This record gives sequence, C-alpha cells and structure tokens, in this order.
Amino acid sequence: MTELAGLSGILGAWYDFRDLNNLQRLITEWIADWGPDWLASIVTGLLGALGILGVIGPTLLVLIWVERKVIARFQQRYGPNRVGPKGLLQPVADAVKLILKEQLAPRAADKLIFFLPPVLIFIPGILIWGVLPFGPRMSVADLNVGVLFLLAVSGTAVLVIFMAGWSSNNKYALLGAMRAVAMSISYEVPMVLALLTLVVFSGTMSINGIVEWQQQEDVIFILLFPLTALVFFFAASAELNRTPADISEAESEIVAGYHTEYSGMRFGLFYAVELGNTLVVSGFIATFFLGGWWMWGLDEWVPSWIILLAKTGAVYFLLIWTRGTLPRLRVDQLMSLCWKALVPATLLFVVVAFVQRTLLISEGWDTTIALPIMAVINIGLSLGAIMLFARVARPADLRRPARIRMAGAEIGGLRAARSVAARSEEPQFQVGGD
Amino acid sequence: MTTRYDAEAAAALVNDAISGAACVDDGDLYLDSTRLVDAVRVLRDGGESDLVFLCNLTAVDYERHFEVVYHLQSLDLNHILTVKARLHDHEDPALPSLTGLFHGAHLQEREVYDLFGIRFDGHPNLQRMFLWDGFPGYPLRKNFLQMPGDVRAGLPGFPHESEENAWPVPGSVPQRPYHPNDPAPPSDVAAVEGEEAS
Amino acid sequence: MTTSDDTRLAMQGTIEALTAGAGSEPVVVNLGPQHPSTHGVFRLKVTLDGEIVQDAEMRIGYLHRSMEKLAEERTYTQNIPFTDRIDYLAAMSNNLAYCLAVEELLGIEVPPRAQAIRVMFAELQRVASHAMANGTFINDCGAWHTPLFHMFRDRERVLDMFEMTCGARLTTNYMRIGGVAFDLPDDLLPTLERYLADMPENIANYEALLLENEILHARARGVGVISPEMAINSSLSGPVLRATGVPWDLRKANPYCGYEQYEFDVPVGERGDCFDRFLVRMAEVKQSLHILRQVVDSLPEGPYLADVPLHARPEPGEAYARVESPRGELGFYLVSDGGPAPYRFHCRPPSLINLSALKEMSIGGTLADAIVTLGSIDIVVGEIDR
Repeated sequence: MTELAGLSGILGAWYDFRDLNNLQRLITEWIADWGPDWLASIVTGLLGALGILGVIGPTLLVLIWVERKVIARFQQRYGPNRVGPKGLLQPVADAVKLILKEQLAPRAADKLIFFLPPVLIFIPGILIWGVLPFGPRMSVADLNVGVLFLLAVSGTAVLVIFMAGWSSNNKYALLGAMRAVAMSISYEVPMVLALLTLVVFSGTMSINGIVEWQQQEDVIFILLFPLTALVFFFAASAELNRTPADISEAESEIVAGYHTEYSGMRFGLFYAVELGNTLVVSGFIATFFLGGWWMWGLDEWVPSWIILLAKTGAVYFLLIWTRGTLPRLRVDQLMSLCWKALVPATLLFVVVAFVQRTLLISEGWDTTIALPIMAVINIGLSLGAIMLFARVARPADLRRPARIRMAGAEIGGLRAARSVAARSEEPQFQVGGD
Repeated sequence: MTTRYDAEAAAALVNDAISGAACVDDGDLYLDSTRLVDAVRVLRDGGESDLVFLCNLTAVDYERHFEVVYHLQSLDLNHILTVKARLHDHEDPALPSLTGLFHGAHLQEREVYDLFGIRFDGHPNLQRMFLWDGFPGYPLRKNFLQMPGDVRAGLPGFPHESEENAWPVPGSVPQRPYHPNDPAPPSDVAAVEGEEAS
Repeated sequence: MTTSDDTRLAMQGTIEALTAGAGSEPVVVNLGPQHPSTHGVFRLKVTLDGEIVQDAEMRIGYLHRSMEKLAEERTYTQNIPFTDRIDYLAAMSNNLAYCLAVEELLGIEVPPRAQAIRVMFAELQRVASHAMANGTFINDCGAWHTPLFHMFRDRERVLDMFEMTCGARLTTNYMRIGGVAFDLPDDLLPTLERYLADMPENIANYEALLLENEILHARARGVGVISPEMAINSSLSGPVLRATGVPWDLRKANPYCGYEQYEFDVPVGERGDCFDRFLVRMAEVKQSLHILRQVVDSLPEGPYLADVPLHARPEPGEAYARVESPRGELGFYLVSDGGPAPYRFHCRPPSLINLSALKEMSIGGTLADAIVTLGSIDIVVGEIDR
C-alpha cells in the first residue's frame, strides 16, 4: 500500500507540473493578497514573456547544434564534435565569435535603415510566440482572434527583410529582398486559405480553440485536411526561407540574399530569428494540424507543453529533412507553384470545409461517424488533386523522359549522332516522364 | 593512333577551290594568311575533308615570324589535320579571324591575342583575356622581357648536366608515401630521375 | 514551345509591361570572382532584367599563372608537376596527356604495365572528378550539400588510393615520360577491389536520391540547351558535347594507352540540356568502373617505366597529343627545338573552350538558370586560366 501511495504522490506532483499555470496562479494570488490588481497582471505578463524568452534563448542554441548534427548525419559527416561534450558548446562558441566580430557596413549603405533590420526582425519573431498555446490555458495571450494575430505579425517580417536588402546597397541583397517580398506576399495567400479551412471547420479563430476542437472531436486536422496541411507546411517553409524555397537567400545564386552585407552579430541576429521562426512555425504546424498540446488522453499524464514540444520537434525534424534532401526551385517555378497549384488546392478545401461544416452543424450529423467518412473523402480528394496537378500543370518539358543512349560502335559527329538517335532499341536508361 | 588527314590531299582540295592558297612544307599544310577564312571554309565544308571541329588554336613565336596553328578534326571521318599560317610581320602580326566559321574560335583567338599580340581581324570582341588591359607587352613572345646581352629565352641545358655527380643524390629524395624519412631503395631513386626534388 | 518557356515569356512580358513607364534599366550583377557557385575565381558578368539574363559576359584570368611561359624554362620532366596544377581536379589526366605528347616527340614506347596503370588512374580520376562535378551541380541547383558530401565520400576513397600510390592526393605528379613514377603498392589492388565492390550500391543510392527528383528535373531539364551543330561548331567536348547526342569520345575515336583493349560504351544524351549533362556523367562513372574492373583483371606484369634517357633532348618537331579528360578533350601541343625544354608548350583546356557557348546557353533564362548551366559545364578555373 505504501508503495502505491508513494507512486501516486509522484504522479500527483507530476500532474501538478502538467500545467505551469498552477504556478502562475499561485503567484497571482499571492500578489493579489497584498498588492494592487495591475501589479498582478503586469507581473504575470512579464513572467510569461520571460518564460518564453528564457526558453527560446537556450533552445535556439541547442537547435543550432541539433540542426547541424542532423544535417551532418544526412551527409555522412560527424558535425560539430569538438567544443564541449559532443560539440554541444559549439553554438556558444559561434555566438561568442559573432559578438566579437567587427560590424561592417558598406560605405554607401543607408546607415539607419541598415542598422534597424537585425533589431526589428526580432519583434515579429518574439511576438509570434505569444499566441502559441503550450497547454489548455498556457499562452501569454489567448486571443480570440489568434489566427489573425499570427498572420498579421508574421506578415510584417517581410518589410524588415526588404529594408535590409534595400539599405545594403548591394545587388545580391536587393535581388534577395525582391524575391523575398514576391514570395512572402504570394505564399501568404495559400497560408491564409489553409488556416481559413481550419477556422471554418472548427468555428473558432482562437488558436487554443482550434486545439480544443480537435480534443473534443478526438481527431487531428492532418487526417481531415491532409492536403491543406501539406500546403501549409510548404508555404511555411517558403516563408521561412528554407530549401526547397530558400530563393531569397539562395546561396548558390545570390550568395546570402538580403543579409549578404551583414556581418558579426547582425548576421547572428538574422540567423537566430530564422531558427526561432523555424521552431515557432513547427510549433504552429503541430498546433494546427497535429493536435497541439493534446494527444488522445496522454496529456492527462504528461505535461501538455512536453507533448507540444515533442510534436514541434517532429515537425522541425521534417523541416531539416526536406532541407537536407531537396534542391531549390527557381523563383518563377515557386510563383507558378503557389498560384497555379497551392492556391486552387487550398480554395478547394475551403469549400469542402464549408460544406462539411454545414452538414455537421445544420444537418446535425453524428460526428463520431461523419468525421471518419469525411476524412476518407478528403484524403481521396487530396490525392486526386495532386494527381490532377501532376497531369495538368506539369510542364511539357518534364513529361517526356530524359534518355541516355549508348553509342556502341557509332563514334563520330553529327552523322553518328543521328544514327544513334534513330536507333529504335530501348535507351540505356530513362528517367522522369509521366 | 591518331589518323591524320593527308596534308597533300588537303592542299589539293584547297588549291582546287582557291588556287595558290595552300602549300605543303615539311609535311604541314600552310595556308595563305590573306585567304585563310575561305581556305578553311573549303576544308570545313568539303565532303571528304569534313573538318568541322576546331580542336585547338594556338600560335608559336619563331622569333622572326609567328605561326598560328590550327588543329582541325573531322568527327565523322575521324581524322585530324594541322593547319598553319605564317605571319611574317613580327611587330604587328594580324590574321583574319575564324570566328565566322567556328564559334569555338572566339576564346582561343582572344587567348592568342592576349599572350602573343596577334590581331585577329573580324573578331567581334578582341580583348585581353587573362591579362588586364594595358599590360605591357605580350608574354609568350620570345622577346618578352628580353635580357640584356645575348641571353635567349628558354633553357640552355639540363641542370647540373656538366657536373660530375649529377643529381639525384641517392637518398636525398623522399620516396615512399607515408614514410618520408625512410631511406629509399635504389630502384626508386631511378624512378624519379629527372625531377628536381633535392 | 514548352510551358516553362511560356512562363518565362509571360514573366518577361509582365516585367516589360510593369517597367515600361517606370524608367527601369537593366542591372549588371557580377557573379564572382568570389561567389559560392563559380567554382573558383571566375567572374560572370550578367545583365539582368528582373531575373531574366539579357547578357552574360565572362571575365577570367584571376588564376593566370603563365604556365605556358614557365614551361619554356623547365625541362620536359620538370614540367609534369605544372600539369597537375592546370586541372587540379584531374591531375592524372593532365599528367597523362602531357606525357603522351612528350613521348610522341621522343618516340618512346611505353611498357604494357605502365599503360594499364595509366588507364587505371585516368579512370579513377574520372570517377573522382565526375563525383565532384555532379555533387557541385546539384549544389548549384540549390541542394543543401547532401549529394555533394555523399559523392565526396567516393572521391575521398579515390584520393586515398592516389596517396597510397604516389603520396599526393590532388597534385599527383605520378606519370612519367615513358611510364609512371612508381609501381603499384601491394595494398592498392585490394583497396581498389573493395572500392569496385562498394561503388554499385553507392551509385544506386545516388540514382534513387536524384534521378526521379521532380525539383531537379524542373531545374535542369530544358535549361542551358545547346544543339549538336552548335556544340560542334563551338568546339565543345566531353560530357557537354556528348549530352547533345554526339558520340565523340577520344578513348574510342583515338585510343591511347591501350584503351582499345577494354570494352566500354559511350553514353550520349538527347537534348543537350543541363540534366542530360548530369546523366551522361552519371553513366560515365559506371563505364569507368567497368573499365577499372577489366584493368584490374588483366593487369600485365613487367616494367612500369620505359628506359628513358635522363637528359632526353627530342628532335626538333612538334606533337599534339590529347586525351579524354573528365572535362573533355585535353590536348598538349609541344614544339621542340632540340633543346632540353619545350620551345612552346600549349595546353588545350577543355574547361575554357566548353565555356564558348555559355553566353548562348544563358541568355533568356533566369539568373538561377545561368548558375545551373555554369555548374553543368563543370569548369575548373585552374585550367581556364592556366
């Protein structure tokens, strides 16, 4: 009996730890006992902000290590393994190096505008964390229009990027900035439409509300709207400037894009924000499509923020994976992919969401039966849409396979070339095509 | 293994079309530099010569005159022909450009212009290629940076050729991979003879 | 007219319409001399209208070391290390071509074992060089180094074998006039056997990763296209020429070092675009491994170096010897005046001459296409500038 009691004691403590709000409530109540109301709200707000800053700062340092290590494993290398145990201190060493480096600015740069972007880029990068729900009531600001806030804040980053590119007085930077603007504006459309699908279907614009809807209906959105999830994932990776859509800082074309001229910690700030954004976007993908802090009852026993972080980590790994695997699309291909494929696909699912929502609400269909059927229908629709796109929108260039023939005994110039090409036998190998 | 196109046959082919534009000297085909483009066109378009591929284009400074050397290749018939043009004006050599016939002559003619100072009339973009504009002189000419007195460019003799104990000194050349300090067996010393490694 | 052309034209039209009243002007962007994608100090000056390349002009010479002049002051043997540094990614092929030219001048017969060793190392060099070329090509298409590092592993093992044999990895200085500098070390052939056993699986991995990659297709197909007529007229050679469908390979057409004893095939492309060049290189690696297999199986015994007089002075005359280097036709034109050093030493650099058509390939495409095209030509700046 005593053993069981001990176990339940441990579990109970664990259970309390599940929701960090308990701690916060304690503090608020303690302040409310002796202080004015406004002090309590300020202190809790600061606590939340400090909590987020305190978490993401070290997390970023670890993430740099994780990303480099994972990419290194994809590439059959060891990755950083010299500074500290397993190379864990490498990011710290890098940060120290970046801080100590001289800050150069081009002589012809617009000094003020050149100085501002590394600082300004932090604002959306931090603000966006405010609406990420780590638990049932665990977000700094549980806005009832959280989705709008998210889109609005993330949209401002492009202005900062353009400031950086324009003020650098560098053609690579300018090209990168122009690409970034074109791409951000384009890719915001499928992103908004993808979120609109969720908003329509769950009937709430609160991010926590979307998670709670998934909890109530016992389903995660990726099953209901797989194509939307895919589009959101791709659009998000485009907004994050990660391969295959990293055209605004395409290393092989325009060196480093908009931050070509930034050196030292100014570059470091861009880099940190980019990593932080990657993390938070992974978090939002996990929240919107993978159920966020909820996981089929597991959240009763495991702290919800650990569940969210685990899911975020999984999405983050997926982002690293795509980055380590895929080449980059060209700027016009990215644009045509966005407008010709992603926007129609998400629009289709907005309509589907409307119809299915109406069936659920007005017709009063039983969700336990209707939702699985809808999931199957939507998965089928998604596959159909992808195949339709592959049929219709695929450039004619790519629909013919690329062939390699073996010359055999035919060695020579044009005449030999013609006779090799005219040979009817199967080419040695052939790739691509329909 | 190289199949050469007979210089005599090529000369006959050219002379049939443009009389007196080609002659054979010491087994090499020399083309008249003023009628070079037409003559090479005959060689390129002639069915039996079919020299459609400009392998190589370079020049040699023979101190009194220049020779521009073209290696023309037929891909289908698989033979190669060395064509030369002599330029007697050593101060201001000029030759018609082959860029109208061979797109591949662009860069090679520019290179020859850059390093030998041979002008190719009709070249669309005859600028210096490796060296900067205003570089004094043309380095591959034999009289570039000529030494005072009668010192000629080039190597007069082998290093230490006349001395009694000519290199390599046995054991002074690191031989084996991984073991630079191992005394090398004599056979290996013989293997690197001719290399100034001491 | 293909859809991507349509898109491009539409883009161009849109840009023209948008900028008609705005008084815009083309932007000149210098790619290089220091740029991640120029593979050395190579400068491509592109005139851009938005993203569309209007003009592309190359500026070279940043790595000019006046090798041809220096070589006139060195003996024939002393010039072999220079050839390493001409194309530092295919030093063996350069050594080989130069030695062939000198042997032609001197009239030397090379022993069969030396010839087989030369073929072995030339083909190993081709595998290593193509690994580098394909890896950096995918990088230029925007991949985050992953295929490059995988292919580097293969190259690394080849370089290890070079080191085992001659002590150097890049600048090998291994061929000699009349043969090679050293005989094969005892542990080379087992290492090579292991390498040949491992390579098919590695190649299958690359093919699985890359060949059906839709993004790679979209980036490289129909980009940097050149017709076979234009390719021949521009003196292109090597994989760039073969990708247009012209089956021209000096190892078959003009066999040297006993290439006629080995059975191999010449892969040719169909359209002459960047993807075909990539595929031709992938296929050539397989053929090279096939040749290596045969060389290992039929390696003759005997001397590895012909009896060449130490102070050889060739008769006055000239020689033009060429080999099929990984980048194309690599020729050495030597003129002897009977002295100890070449009177004229000229290298026909395939990298430089393959750039002849770069402008034509790039104009009308986007900036990104120009980078991919440059990457697919596989230049080595040391060879361009010499």
